[in-house]
Amino acid sequence: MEKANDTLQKVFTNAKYHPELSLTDDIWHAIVVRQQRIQRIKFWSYSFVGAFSLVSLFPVLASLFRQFVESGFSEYLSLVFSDSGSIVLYWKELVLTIADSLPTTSLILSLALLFVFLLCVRRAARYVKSPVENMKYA
Amino acid sequence: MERSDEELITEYLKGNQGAFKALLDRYTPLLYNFSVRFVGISVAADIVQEVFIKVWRNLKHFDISKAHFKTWVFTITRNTITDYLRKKKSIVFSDMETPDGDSLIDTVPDKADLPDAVLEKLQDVQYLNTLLQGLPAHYQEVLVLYYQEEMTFAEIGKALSKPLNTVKSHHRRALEQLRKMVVNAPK
Repeated sequence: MEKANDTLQKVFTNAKYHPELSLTDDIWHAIVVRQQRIQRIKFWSYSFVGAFSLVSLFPVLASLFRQFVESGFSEYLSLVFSDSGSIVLYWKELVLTIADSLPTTSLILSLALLFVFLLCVRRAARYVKSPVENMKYA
Repeated sequence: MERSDEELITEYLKGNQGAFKALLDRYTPLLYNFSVRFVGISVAADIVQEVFIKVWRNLKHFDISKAHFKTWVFTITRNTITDYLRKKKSIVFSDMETPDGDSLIDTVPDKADLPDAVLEKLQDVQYLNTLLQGLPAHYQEVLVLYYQEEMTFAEIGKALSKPLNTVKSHHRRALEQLRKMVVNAPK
């Protein structure tokens, strides 16, 4: 039984079909091309979102500064430097007033846009390097 | 020293793209030989390429601790071949199963021993390949994986999603049918 098994193993091994030598390289090439395409799509997607968030950041920042001025936030803040005695006495009220005068929505929106922009720059930078360079042979 | 599949996968997941090329070099001949038997020489290369693209896409989800890469890659190959044959409205592996089910197959007595005369005739590569083509696909795949890819019955079972006893009985029946084909062949 063992001998028959060995013989069958040999017989079957001889009957193997062999691919063309170029097949492995062809498949590798197809994978590299796909990877390049995916990386290109990701790069442009991140670039687009990054550019959009950067452009949006300017009006949001302008609105934020305007709201800071309108809310009197800078006046309250200047008290810290001009009248330190009253700050020690009424620090709780001052903190609450400053917090109340903050333009929260614009501030959150600005920070969110800044975060998205930086994230997109970081992600896009990852795909700037050519994928072919990454795919070195083992 | 040759790196194991698991080592190559780990390296690839760490960012060494070349490790995937090494896996590709290792498995292309195996998958090609397996595919040729079910889809023919003209389509086998496309099937192998499709398999490797699926492997490349899903390798990050593959759990080395739960399965062998070889078993996994043959499962993907088999499914890809089945999809291809289904699209072509050709016969799929499961259609070739006996209607009575595997329990009946399991009761078949062990007659797997091939006489020397039969083994001698099988030495002819072309003759063997012709005979294999005459076997049902689910017998062919067991023989190819067992004798050519040197997989164990347990590994074959996992790759083909079949119980161990079914694989063993398919193996027995395949050899029995092969013997009958050789004996009954016109001289």
